[in-house]
Amino acid sequence: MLTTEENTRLTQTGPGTPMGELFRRFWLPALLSEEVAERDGQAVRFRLLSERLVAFRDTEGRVGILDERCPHRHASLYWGRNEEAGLRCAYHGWKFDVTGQCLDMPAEPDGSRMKDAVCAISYDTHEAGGVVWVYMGPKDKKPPFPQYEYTTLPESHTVAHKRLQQCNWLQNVEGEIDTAHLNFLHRSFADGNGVMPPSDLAKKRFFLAETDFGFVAMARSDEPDDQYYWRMTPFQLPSFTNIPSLPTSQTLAVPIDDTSMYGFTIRWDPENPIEQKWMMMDVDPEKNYLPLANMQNDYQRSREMQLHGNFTGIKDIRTQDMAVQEDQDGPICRREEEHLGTTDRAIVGARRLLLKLSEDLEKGIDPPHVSHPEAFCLRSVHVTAPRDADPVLLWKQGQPEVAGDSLRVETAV
Amino acid sequence: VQLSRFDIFEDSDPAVDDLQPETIEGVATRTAESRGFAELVYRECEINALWSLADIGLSGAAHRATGSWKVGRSQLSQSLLARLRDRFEEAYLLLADSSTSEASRVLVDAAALSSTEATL
Repeated sequence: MLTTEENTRLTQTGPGTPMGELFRRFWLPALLSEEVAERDGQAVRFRLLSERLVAFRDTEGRVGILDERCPHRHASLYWGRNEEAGLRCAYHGWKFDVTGQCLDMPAEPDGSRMKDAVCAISYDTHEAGGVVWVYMGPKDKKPPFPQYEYTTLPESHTVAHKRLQQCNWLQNVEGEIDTAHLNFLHRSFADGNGVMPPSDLAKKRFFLAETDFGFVAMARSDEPDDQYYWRMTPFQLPSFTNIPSLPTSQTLAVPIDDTSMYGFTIRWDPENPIEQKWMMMDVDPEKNYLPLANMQNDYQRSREMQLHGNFTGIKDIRTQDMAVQEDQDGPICRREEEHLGTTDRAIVGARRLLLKLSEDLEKGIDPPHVSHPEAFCLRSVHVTAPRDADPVLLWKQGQPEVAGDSLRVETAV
Repeated sequence: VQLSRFDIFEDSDPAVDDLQPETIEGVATRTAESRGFAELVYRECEINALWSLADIGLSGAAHRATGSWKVGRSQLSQSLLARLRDRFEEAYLLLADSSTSEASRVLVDAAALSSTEATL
């Protein structure tokens, strides 16, 4: 249950909205590096948080992200020429560098210093893990870049992927942290799925632990020989999740607007080079990374596969997720009308945390999580262990050696 | 920080699957005692479950000639279901504001309301 006001607060991320302002306090994935691979190549246009943007890689290899509109007459900089360390508007030739500083205004009189005072709206970027990241918040509030584990690895150990998803970002995030759906939506009739918990759904118990990066959603199920299977899924603010999988992975939901989002997936292997086959689904980069299996073709659902392959008849896990997430009342779920149960703890936890942080931000309280970049160096955990094993210890044992001690456990009164 | 498994890993697994007075009172008692992020989320989920039962019951009762709906062992009238749902929503809003004592009191009121209709 949410009130209508709470649902609106959570799902709107445009400029000036409470959740939009919260998103803007974090580094967000904007593009795959390969989208702007070429120095002085064509600019790319895209939208994030309901803002129209262009990205380009300049002569020196730096990536700039600017408001798509030239500040002069609002022509799109997408049509501009990217050359000699700047993007020049095709309309009247105003030229901007990656910081947004105007370098040239050809139509102004000789000797004019007007260009020195003109800037395009620009956002700071950072490249890591095959992704161009952007910070869209106040310049004086820019946090250090989070120390995701894959940013410390050789390029060959990481692969990044991107897809268009046609629903509000929160529908995707709630699916990522919701362990209870795995036994149905992703049930495979064949062995060797590799990511499915082995136990029955009714025997699962669900827990949360608050952390310096967000929280960990934990599912525990009974196993033979006096053991538990633990599945620990970290939810990292503002909208990122490490799903227990091999190789380890992070999924990142970033709003395009309030009814669509990009879903980034970054997979990494700390020990070995990673193969491209771990890309999860086929997408069409020429169609804004629209998956080939999508709502227009019923996600390529097959009756034959439903009879003999898996529960849904839809081919891969990510596509199965999209089939349900892209239509929960359409692209924006009416959460004030839904009916939650006692085990929807991770979903309620995410909503409550995001609501509180957005309300705090309105009161002038910054999200404390951005001050803990070391806390974001983490992995998911899935392990079978004796029932008397301390789950807090199991979590810590599953983390990279360089990770900070981010699990904040509440003290008993 | 002292590690405390209880705050996160509550050993009890309370069932919230009907609108009996004792079920609602159980949620009220736990709500009054809850502190910290995880516990408050657990309680919010239990209040959500109560609200879900009342709201679904209300929809069901509206489509029946009897004007009532069976929830667990009780046949509850449409008017009672509506009053219970309002109470649960009130408790939800108070809990969201971390006002656990007030939320608990509202739930105690709801339990008393629930006891006014006979158990089957």
